Amino acid sequence: MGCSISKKSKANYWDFASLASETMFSLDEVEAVYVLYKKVSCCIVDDGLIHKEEFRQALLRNKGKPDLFVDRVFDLFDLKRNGVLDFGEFVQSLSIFHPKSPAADKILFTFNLYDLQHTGCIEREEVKEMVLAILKESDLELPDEVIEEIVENAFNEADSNQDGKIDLEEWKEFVGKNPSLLKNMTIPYLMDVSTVFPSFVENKIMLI
Amino acid sequence: MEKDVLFGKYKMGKLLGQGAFAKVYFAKNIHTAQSVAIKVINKQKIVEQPNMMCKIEREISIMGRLRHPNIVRLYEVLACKRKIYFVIELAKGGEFYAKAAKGPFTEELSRKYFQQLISAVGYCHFRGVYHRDLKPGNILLGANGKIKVTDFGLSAIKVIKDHIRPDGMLHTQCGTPAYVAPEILRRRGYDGAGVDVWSCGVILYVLTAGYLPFNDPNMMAMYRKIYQGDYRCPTWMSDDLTHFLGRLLETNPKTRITIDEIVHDPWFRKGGLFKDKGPEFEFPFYHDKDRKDLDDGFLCHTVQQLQQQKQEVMGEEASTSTPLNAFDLISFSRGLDLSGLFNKNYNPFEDSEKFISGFSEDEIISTIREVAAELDVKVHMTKKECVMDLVGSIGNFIARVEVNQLTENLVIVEVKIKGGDSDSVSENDIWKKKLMPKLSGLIYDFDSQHVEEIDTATEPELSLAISVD
Repeated sequence: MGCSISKKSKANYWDFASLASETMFSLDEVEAVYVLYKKVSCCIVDDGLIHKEEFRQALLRNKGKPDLFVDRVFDLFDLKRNGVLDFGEFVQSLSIFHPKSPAADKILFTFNLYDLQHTGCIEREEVKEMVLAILKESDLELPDEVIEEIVENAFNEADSNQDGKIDLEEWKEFVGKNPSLLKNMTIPYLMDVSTVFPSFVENKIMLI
Repeated sequence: MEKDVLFGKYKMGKLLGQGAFAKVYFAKNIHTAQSVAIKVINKQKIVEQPNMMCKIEREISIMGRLRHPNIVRLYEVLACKRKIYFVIELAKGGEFYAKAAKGPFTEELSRKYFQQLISAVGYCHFRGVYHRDLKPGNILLGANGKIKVTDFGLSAIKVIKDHIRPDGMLHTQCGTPAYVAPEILRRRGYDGAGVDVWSCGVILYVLTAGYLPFNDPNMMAMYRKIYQGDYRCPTWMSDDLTHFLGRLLETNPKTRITIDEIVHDPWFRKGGLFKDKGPEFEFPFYHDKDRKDLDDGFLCHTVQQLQQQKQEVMGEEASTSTPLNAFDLISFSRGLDLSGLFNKNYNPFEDSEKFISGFSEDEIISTIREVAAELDVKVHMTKKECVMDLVGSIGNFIARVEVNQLTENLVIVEVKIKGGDSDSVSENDIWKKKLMPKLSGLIYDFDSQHVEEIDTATEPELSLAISVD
C-alpha cells in the first residue's frame, strides 16, 4: 500500500555489515536473521517492525495472547522502550542467545528477565508469580503450600545472605551451581544460522 | 574464511562424480582431518511437492542414524540459500558400476555382493527407510571391496531431470527405467519394500548374466517388457538361481518374494550365511550391535543431537538427578524458548505434557518400562539420568519422558512428543491413546489427597493392575 516505499527504505536502512561487527553474528547470519525478522514483523501488521502481538504469535502460535514470559522477553528486547522491535534491536538482543556469546551476558539477561518489577533484585513474589504462570501454562495444579515449598527451596539455595531477595551476585553464584538455568539462553540453531538444515526450510517457505 | 572451505569446516577437493542432479566432491573435515564425500544438490532443481520438507527432514533424520557396513554413512546435512550439501562417507573403492560392467560374475561372487545388498536393504526397511531407486549407480565399493549402498532415503527429494514431461512424475522419478518395478510404471500406489526387492532382482540378474533383464532401445518397448515380466535367463544359470530370480522379478508385488523370504532362499543361503562372513550378515536386520553408536555423530536436528547440545550447554553436572528448583520449572516455559521463533519444525519436541506424581522416580520408570514392554515399545535410557526415549518397533521415535524431583514427595514427569508434520501423527497416537491411559494411575490427584492418605498402600497395586490391563 502507501507505505511500501517507506518499508523498502527501512530494509535498506540497516547496515548488515556493522550489525555483524557489533554482534556475534557473521554477515551471512545477519542476513539469515533478517529473513526471520521480516517473516515475524509482517505476520500481523506489515510495517517492518515487530509488535508485541507478533512476537507472541511467532513464539507461541496462539494468536498473540498475553503471556508473562514472552512479554518479559519482548520488553528486554525493546532496548529503545518504544513498544516495537526494529531490526537492530532484534539482532542485538538475539545475539545474546548466540552460542558464542559470553555467559556473563546470558546470566545478566536471565536476571533482568526474572526481576519482573525492575527492583534490581529477584523477589519471592516475582518467583511465585512465575511459578504460577508456568504451572498454568502446563495445565498443572498444585496446592498453595507446595508452591510455597518450591519457592522456599529456591530461596534457601540462591539467597545466600538470606535477606529475602536474590541480587545479581547471588544470582551469578546460583547459576554457576545450576548451569541448566541457562539452557534457554543459547539457541544452538543460531550457530551457522545461514547454513544449517532448517534454514533451508525457512528459505523455502519464503519462496512459496 | 577461505573460499574453498565449506562452512568453515570442509575443505573441498576434486570432483569425484557427477549425476543428473548432483555433484560429488572429495572433501576433508579440517577439524578432524576425516576424508568425506560431499554431495551437492542445487535447490532449484528440487521439485516442489506438498509436505516435501517434512518428509525430507524425517527421512534425513532417520538416515543419519543408519549404521551398517554396507550403507554409506550420512554424517551431516548443510544448506545455504541455493544448495544442499550431504556430507557422506567416502567410499574408497569407487563405483560398483564400473565393476559390474565387467560381468558376468560367477554365482558365488554375485551371491557375495547380493547378500551384502540384501543385508543393507533389509536393515533400512526394518527402520522404515526405503531406497526406491536401487541400481548399480547407487552402489559404491568400500576399501575392502565390500559394497556400500548410497542415497538411501533420498528418494524423498525429487529432482527435476532434463527430460521432464508435463504429464508427470514417472519421467521425473527415474533416469533409466531398467531397474524400476512394474507397479511404479502402472502408477498405482506402491510399497517401497517391494519396489526395492524388484530392483535387487534386476541387479542380481545383471551381476550373474552380464546384461539387463529388460532392455530395448525403444523406451516404450522396455516398459512393456518390465510390465509383463518378459525376460529370459541364460542357460548357464543354475536352476536355483533361475527360480530365485523368478521370485524376485515377480510382476505382482503381492506375490513377490519378501526380504524375510529371500534370507531363507536356498540359492541365497548356499555356502552358509552366518558363521564365516562376519557380523554384518546377521539376519534379520534389527541387531544394533552398539546402540550407543546411534547416539552420536549426526548433526542434523535429531533427537540425539538436541539432547547432546543441551547437555553441552548444561554441563556434565546436570546429568546427575538433582531436584528441580523454581527457576528450572520456570525455564520450562515455551515463551522462554526462543528457538520457537525460527521454525515450527525446528524444535523436535513440539508438544509436551507434564504431570505431577507422588511416586518415586524409580517407580515411575519401572511402570513405564512395563507398559512399554507390553506395547512392543523400546525404552532407551539416555545419558542423563531419569530421561528415557520411547522408540517404536521400526526405530520410530515416540516420546521422551523425563522425571524430575519437584519437592520431597512429588516428582514432575514431562513427556515430549514429536510434533509438527502429519507423519508423526501415528506416533503421537501411540503415546496418547495407548501409553498415557495406562500411566494415568501415576498421576497425583490433589483433590482426593486426604482420601488416598488412608489407603496409600493399595495405590502401587492399583497402578500395576492398570498396566497389566
